[in-house]
Amino acid sequence: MKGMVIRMTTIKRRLTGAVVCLLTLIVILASSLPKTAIAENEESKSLTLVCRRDETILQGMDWKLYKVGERIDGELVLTGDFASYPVYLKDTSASAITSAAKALESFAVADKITPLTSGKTNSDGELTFEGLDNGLYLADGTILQVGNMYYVPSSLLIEISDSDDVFSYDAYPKFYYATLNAEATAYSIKKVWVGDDENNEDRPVDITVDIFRNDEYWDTVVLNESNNWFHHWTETGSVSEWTVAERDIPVNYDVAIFIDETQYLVQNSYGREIATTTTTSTTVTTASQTTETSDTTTTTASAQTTTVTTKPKDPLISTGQLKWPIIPLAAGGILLIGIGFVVKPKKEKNEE
Amino acid sequence: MKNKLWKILIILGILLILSAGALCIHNSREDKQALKASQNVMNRIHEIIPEIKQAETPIKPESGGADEDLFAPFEEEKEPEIPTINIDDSVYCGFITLPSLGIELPVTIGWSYPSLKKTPGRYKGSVYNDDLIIAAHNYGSHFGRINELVQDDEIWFTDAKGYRHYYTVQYTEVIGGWDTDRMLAGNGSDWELTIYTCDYSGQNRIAVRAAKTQKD
Repeated sequence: MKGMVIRMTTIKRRLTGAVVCLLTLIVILASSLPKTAIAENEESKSLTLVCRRDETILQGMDWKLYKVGERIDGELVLTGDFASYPVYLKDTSASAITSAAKALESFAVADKITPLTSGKTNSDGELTFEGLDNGLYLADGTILQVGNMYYVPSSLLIEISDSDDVFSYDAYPKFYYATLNAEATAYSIKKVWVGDDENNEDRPVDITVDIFRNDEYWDTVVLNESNNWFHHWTETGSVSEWTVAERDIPVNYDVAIFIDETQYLVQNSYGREIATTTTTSTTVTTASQTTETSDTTTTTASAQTTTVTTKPKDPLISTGQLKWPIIPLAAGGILLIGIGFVVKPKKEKNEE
Repeated sequence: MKNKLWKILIILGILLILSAGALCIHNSREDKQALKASQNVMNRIHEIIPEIKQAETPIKPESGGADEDLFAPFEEEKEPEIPTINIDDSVYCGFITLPSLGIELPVTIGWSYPSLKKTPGRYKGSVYNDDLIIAAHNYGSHFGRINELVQDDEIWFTDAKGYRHYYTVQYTEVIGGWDTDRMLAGNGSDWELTIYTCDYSGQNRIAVRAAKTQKD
């Protein structure tokens, strides 16, 4: 009997130990699992894009969502795949935000960046992205054809913050137009420089722009002074979604892209502060395990240059005859003659 | 020594007076040549433009200006095309009339020192942009008497198509020979036409500023 009791106690102890080990193992496994970007938790937010206006509902419009940045120390900073792009985010005016969004979209297309998520608008013209955390997001829509009408959505930059949990954004396209199959549409790109002059040593002699049609590479053009930094092309038939992406942004410049139906203005601004993040990874390997840690630091790059251009002044046209010496010459002559007579010896005067 | 000194002084004095006289004669001949040249051109211009019409509204020649588009703010501002008349080897954009001084002179589209010896020249701007500046030598037959113009005196500029623009003198100022900024300042606000020439010293410019008016 006594032996049985001892055995039961031992079994209980072993079972308890096994359960504790199992629970510990589960906890360790759970904590080491990678966290997904869209992890559903109490703090996740949602964003709804609304493509509806009056009686027009755009159902089936494709949208991609990218997380492009975060607010760090009160400043919007590009992060992740977009960290290295020189896009200025400090100007929060509507046109500046739109042009920055377009520039980021061009990089996403050119570098084939994988979106965070994507979807289509539903029968109410709405598309909701769930489980978002705070940050700056780029919403990129695709042209939607409804009958002979083409709806061209604008790229959107939207910040998800602690101000709310549910965000709704009017994403109804700014541009929409009807076109016939036989009609040719002309598109054009122009490059402009802002914040410096042509004597700036940092300004390159030309820039290269990739053109994408429906997110597929289509052409590469070089813009320079000889072509007035301008290029145009035409398309006949259906309307395509065109994206222009500037390659190799010159140092100390940032890029913004403005669009207006068929025009693409690629603007490089000089000397503006672009906040960037640098992520450093360190890998520590030990005999039994390898751990990787990463630190993110924010640096602000600013180009401090001053351009002082002094241009020598041109004189006004000289429109004067040589008149001023007349009086001095005549007066001087009279004076000399007078002095001559004064110094003339008296003997000669008397002889005269 | 003293015997020779007085002779030298007198001779020098005579030479100086002769130099002054020669300069006077040279200037006078230049003036007359300029008058003759400009009048010859004016006669030709009157043959080409027999009828003078009043410019009732600002007539801007087609400039090919950009539409309101995305690129427009970055396009270089184009100068409107100025109609011209070719006479011999010179190109004229019209002629200027100073009624109170009895002067009527052709104006070349641009300027050069050789051309200024014959006629006034357009320094900058155009009558269509209300920023026209005309320069001429201070010959008596050209702009040598513009300092006599007073406020409300009329100035007329007739373009190469025969449209006459009327101005009234607002004020006259003396501007330093290197002060280009001041010469250009105020166009479209303080004045729509400026005519200028050198002052007596040749160091400064006498600028007469005029505002556009409509003739009744």
